[in-house]
Amino acid sequence: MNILVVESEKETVGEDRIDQFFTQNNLYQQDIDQVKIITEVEAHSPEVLEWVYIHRPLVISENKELIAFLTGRQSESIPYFLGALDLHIAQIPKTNEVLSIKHLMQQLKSNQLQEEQKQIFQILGELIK
Amino acid sequence: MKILVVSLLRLGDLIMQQPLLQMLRLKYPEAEIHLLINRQFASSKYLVDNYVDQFHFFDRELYQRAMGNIEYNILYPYQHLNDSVQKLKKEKFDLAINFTHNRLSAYLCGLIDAKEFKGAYYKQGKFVGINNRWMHYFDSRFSKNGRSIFHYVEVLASSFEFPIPPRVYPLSLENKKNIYIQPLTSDRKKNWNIASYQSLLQQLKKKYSAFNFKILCAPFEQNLIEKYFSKDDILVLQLVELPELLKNARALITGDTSIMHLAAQNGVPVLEIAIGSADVCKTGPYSYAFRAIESQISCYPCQHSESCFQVSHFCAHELTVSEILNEFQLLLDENYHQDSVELKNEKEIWQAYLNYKPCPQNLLNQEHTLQIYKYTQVLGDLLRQDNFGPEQAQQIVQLIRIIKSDKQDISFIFNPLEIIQHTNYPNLESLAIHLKKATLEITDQVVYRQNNIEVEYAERN
Repeated sequence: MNILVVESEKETVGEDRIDQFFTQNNLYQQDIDQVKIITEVEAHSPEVLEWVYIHRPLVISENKELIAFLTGRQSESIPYFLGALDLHIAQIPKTNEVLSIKHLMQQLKSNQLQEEQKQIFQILGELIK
Repeated sequence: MKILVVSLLRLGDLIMQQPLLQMLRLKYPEAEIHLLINRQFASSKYLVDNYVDQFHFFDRELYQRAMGNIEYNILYPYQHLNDSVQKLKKEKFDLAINFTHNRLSAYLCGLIDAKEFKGAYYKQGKFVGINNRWMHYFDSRFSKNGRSIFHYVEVLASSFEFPIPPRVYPLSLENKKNIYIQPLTSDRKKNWNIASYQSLLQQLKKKYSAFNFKILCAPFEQNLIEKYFSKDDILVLQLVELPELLKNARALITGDTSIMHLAAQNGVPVLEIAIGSADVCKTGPYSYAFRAIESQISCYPCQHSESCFQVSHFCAHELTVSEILNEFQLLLDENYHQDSVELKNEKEIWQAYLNYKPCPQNLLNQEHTLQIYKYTQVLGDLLRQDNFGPEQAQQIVQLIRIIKSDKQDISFIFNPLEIIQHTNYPNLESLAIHLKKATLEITDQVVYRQNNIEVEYAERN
């Protein structure tokens, strides 16, 4: 069984993270329900949104908007992610696009980031040139 | 003493840096040496672990993957990289040495808080640390498409004030009958035609029946190689198996590959087929036992990071099997590569300049070399002036005119981008305008040269 973990911030879903599981074998749903990690998540995470039993590419494509929201790649959710790391980046563009590090890079100069924080973004910026 | 060496380039570079790490160890025998390399080469750390006490890994591929996939938290790469930087900071390095020399490594070095730095690092909004003539030479000749008369190992060693590692002499070749051929490189534009390798192998087998010839490839190259060669002729190997294999090698024929550098370090005679961005002077085999056949097409060597812009891969097409066979015979005869007298003189002059020494007396009588020395001195001194301003820019423009009227190879001595990038001139835009006029003609020449490569190729063939 492969597990796809979609990382998120508490405020977006009220939980530490969203876990999505998907299987390459023909397990029956009742077998999946017995998997330890699933039972643990269910026991401790009353706010699990849903269990999706489909192929990974479908998980991504059919839930793109939701995943983008959960992972801070939408204008509405990104402030929670920036706040968690104490990153002061204001003026994130209001857009329907899926946000990426590039959008943050464009804001570096005009924001109140510490030099060290800027430099880490600059390193990442070099990797997407 | 705790030293961090930052080496974030490719595998071939890491192998070439092995003798530099050896020199570092000699210079600081008691030091605790740490090496930061890309995570993808973690399995190759055995290549340098004689000189390294501790490895750190930079997760380049993870960051790229995480930035491009929406299932990753948008700040996951930031958080991960920040954690890695904090871990490095906690080591409290006395000295950080940046072998990599690019913007990424300079940003990273600037974050590490070492007591001392050698090489480029970024602090307070500026790239700094290029503070001797060798480093300036390295910076201008090894980034982008600058030409260098010195090898990467020599320039790096001198930049960091290590002794220059000696080139490796060939080991005893007696009773060695295995000749290996590595047709594929990591970059398509450095590959000679695979069908030509096929023909080369046939002719080598016919002409040198006393030797055993094998085509080498990595597992991921196997499918392609098997389309051109019989399975009996192929050896599929992991990098880790190569040092053992090379112990019994009589020679290696290859493009610009990691195995070429490994073979050179192990004293195996190498014939390098240098096309595309492979530059023998800069990054050829660092040994005495090699020959190289280089393309004569004017766009050779091209820029490493760009794909071939020509309508056809001319530099690969122009090298013939018979030329390679001739070179191979010379290699077998132990008639190895030698620098020309002119190049030796030129190296001496540059070494004098770069080491802050006067030009050797015996060379002062040679007008051509003296001129180069003069230009280099004047240009170098102008660039390093703290108060670089319009007056100095104007002087450089004058100097360019003089060099051109003297019919020297201006592209070798002077690169306008160097001036724009590496001076303290406050108004780069205005400097660019100053230089534009002088460089326009150079740009024209480059465009003209590129447009005429096809004609030149057609005429030659």
